Amino acid sequence: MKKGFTIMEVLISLVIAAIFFVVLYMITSFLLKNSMEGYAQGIITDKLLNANYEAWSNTTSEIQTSQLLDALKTSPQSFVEEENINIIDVSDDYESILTTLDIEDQIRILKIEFNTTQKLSRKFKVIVPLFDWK
Amino acid sequence: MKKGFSVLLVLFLTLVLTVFFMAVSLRVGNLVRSINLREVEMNLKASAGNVLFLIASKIRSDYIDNIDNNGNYNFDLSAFDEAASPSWIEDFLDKVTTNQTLEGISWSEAISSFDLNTCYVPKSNLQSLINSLYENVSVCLFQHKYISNFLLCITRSEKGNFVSYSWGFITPKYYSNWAVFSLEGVGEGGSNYYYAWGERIDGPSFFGYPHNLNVLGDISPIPPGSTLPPDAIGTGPFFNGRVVTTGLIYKVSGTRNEATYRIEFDSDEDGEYEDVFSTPYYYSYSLETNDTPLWVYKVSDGQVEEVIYAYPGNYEIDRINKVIRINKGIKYEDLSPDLFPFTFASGGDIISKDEWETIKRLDFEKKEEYYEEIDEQASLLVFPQDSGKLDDPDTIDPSQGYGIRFQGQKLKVYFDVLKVEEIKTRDGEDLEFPGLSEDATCSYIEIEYPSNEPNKALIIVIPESSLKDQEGNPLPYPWDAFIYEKNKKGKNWSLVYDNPIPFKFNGLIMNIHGGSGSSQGEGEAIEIGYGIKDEHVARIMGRFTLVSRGSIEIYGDLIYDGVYNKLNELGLLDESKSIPEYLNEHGEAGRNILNELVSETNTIDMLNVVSLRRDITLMIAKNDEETEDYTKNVKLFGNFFCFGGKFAVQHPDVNKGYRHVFGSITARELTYTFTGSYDDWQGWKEYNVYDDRLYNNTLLPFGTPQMREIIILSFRVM
Repeated sequence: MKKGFTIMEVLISLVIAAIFFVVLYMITSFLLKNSMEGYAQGIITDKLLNANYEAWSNTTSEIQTSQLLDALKTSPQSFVEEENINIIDVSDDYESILTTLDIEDQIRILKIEFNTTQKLSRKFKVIVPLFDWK
Repeated sequence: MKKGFSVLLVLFLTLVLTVFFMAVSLRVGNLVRSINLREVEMNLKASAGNVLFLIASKIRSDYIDNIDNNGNYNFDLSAFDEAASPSWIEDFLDKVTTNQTLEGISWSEAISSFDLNTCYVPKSNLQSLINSLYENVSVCLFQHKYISNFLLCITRSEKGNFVSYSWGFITPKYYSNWAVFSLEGVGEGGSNYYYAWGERIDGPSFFGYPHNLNVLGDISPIPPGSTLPPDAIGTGPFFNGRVVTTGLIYKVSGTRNEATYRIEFDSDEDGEYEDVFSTPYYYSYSLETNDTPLWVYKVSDGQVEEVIYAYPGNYEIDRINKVIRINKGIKYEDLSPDLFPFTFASGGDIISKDEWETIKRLDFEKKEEYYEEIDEQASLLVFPQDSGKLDDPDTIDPSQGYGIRFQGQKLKVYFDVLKVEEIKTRDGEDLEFPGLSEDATCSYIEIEYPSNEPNKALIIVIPESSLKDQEGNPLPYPWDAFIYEKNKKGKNWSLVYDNPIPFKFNGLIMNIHGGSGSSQGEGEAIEIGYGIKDEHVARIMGRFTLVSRGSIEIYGDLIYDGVYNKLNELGLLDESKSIPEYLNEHGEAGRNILNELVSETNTIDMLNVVSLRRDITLMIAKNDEETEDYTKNVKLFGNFFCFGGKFAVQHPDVNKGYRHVFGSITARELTYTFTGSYDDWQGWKEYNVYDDRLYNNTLLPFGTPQMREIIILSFRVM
């Protein structure tokens, strides 16, 4: 066996290493991007606006939170488990001002909370119309 | 290896690793940042949209209880303060109308009809509720320039450099938002009838329980090798708007050639053709190639029972053995309008009986209350009670808008457009219309009663200058007008007063007893379709609502004055030509001719014809011995509402061409209008064109049947 490395061997090693890192970067980047984008798509774009559109599409004088929950569960690209969604009717917290404005029978105010498996949570309030506005 | 080289190598590798992880970190950082930005944008959009619904709920709450002293429901903006237009409105307009896309141009046109100099902003208590729910959300309401009950609502939410808008038009909901609304579908005496060849329904339509929607057409196969579009387009009816129905039957007449190809369908994609049938009707854009979708309609007892849809590439045509093999497709056993694109251009929905019950309850059970409230609240001149009393100065308040109510007479109503000198010549030389020149154009309404042998008449004259400004834009009711009466003695009419009496007219003419009696009065019927110059052409200038608790009979054309001359030029005014015949001459480019004429002439006219308990019927002739064909190819411009009865025709045994309705039809039930075949029929075929102005409730007359509900049109979030 010859002692030491030739310059050619070192160069080849470096080229291989460089290719390795580039490929590694591309794979990591691709995976990371996809997972993050999928995550963002699911938790933000899809779920947040979807929940609002579901709530706004109500045209009946009553809405059960279970209806909305079902709609959220069956909406596209759903990855949030049922137990990770909380829908709370917080209309009573605003009862006084809603009554003053005489709109207590016109809307419900729901607080929707997503708790994902990634321990990330989002909360937002949605106005649900209780009349046929379409 | 030389000493020191390994150190250099390690340093180099470390550098590479550092660069690598920095790159990854930067990438992840950018990604996370963009995710955060998107989340901010989404939150802003959601906030803006939610506040719009909050505002709409307040407007609705105040609207459904706000009946004015005319008996009309109006938007009440007392929860809002008038303010100058906000500075951000320019930014909003730039974003919405900036590009020259069709949508951008449409928004630009729609928004330009609102008064953007004045806006309404929430008062403190409403704004504090908004602030407690969402951060940095502003609201502005703008009123339509001519219609106070038509609002543009814009909500704006912002955070840092990010801005989001939500907007929509808020307006009362009207029955005329449907082109055709038949609560119980098309039937007569319990039978089901069919829309058939050559008939057209434009705009959104509804057909309810129990008769639903029945269609009769031909789904013709295209011979292989043909590139022609399917004959089915020309042989069935055509619905140009979205259809909602409680059920659909598509009947095939079988007068066209049946398909000669056998259909083999691999329904479970296992390579075996389980479903084989040899006498189908089928339809495709072309069987010359396999790259168009294939629709197969399986017919049983003359009725479509199943539809199979195959994407291009999922079927093959064996022309030698005359077999179409579908290797992969979707089979529909429940029919819906979406499965017949050549008949239902915009598709449609099937709704359940429960949903229909809700619509029925909401839509049809409050219609008489509405007019009873108008009767109680509005200022009305009542005949014959007020007959001969109008020249008493205390009778008419010059600042008050009036409607007219008859108590149980049978009325014959003439509409026309006359010059003052023509009115004088007709009614006597001594007639004076203060402030009007001899050549002033006026809308003329003459109401004679009783209709079978009139001996009294009420005349309303409205100068054109009261109805529209010099640019031709509509002026709001009530309009400055004149009213006078005539009595018939022997063969001659004589004036009841010395001169016509000025008053303000809101356009409402009702024929109902006062109060809420449960039965129809002895009279309470109205005959329309009469004019002064042409006996069977009613020329309507202005916006009017005719309400009868009893029946309404139509004896001639009802034409909006704005398009009268244009229709005459095109040869569409008299009975000789139908719109389909016009299209045959001018091609499909003329398809929207009526709406184009209304738009081009800036027509401000609109007529509502309302029967609360009985039918609105297109008549054959006044008397049996009359043979004039004045209702052939009849043109009915108006919105027709039969809450208790049918929108009907007398059934003649001769060909009457087409019954054109330009406007909308709301009825408990529709009757069939013709019998016969594709090119040889008795009665009228239907040709309905939805008045595009009804999409956004512009120019509706006073007393247009409201639903006491609001509608949010064109809701958007950006």
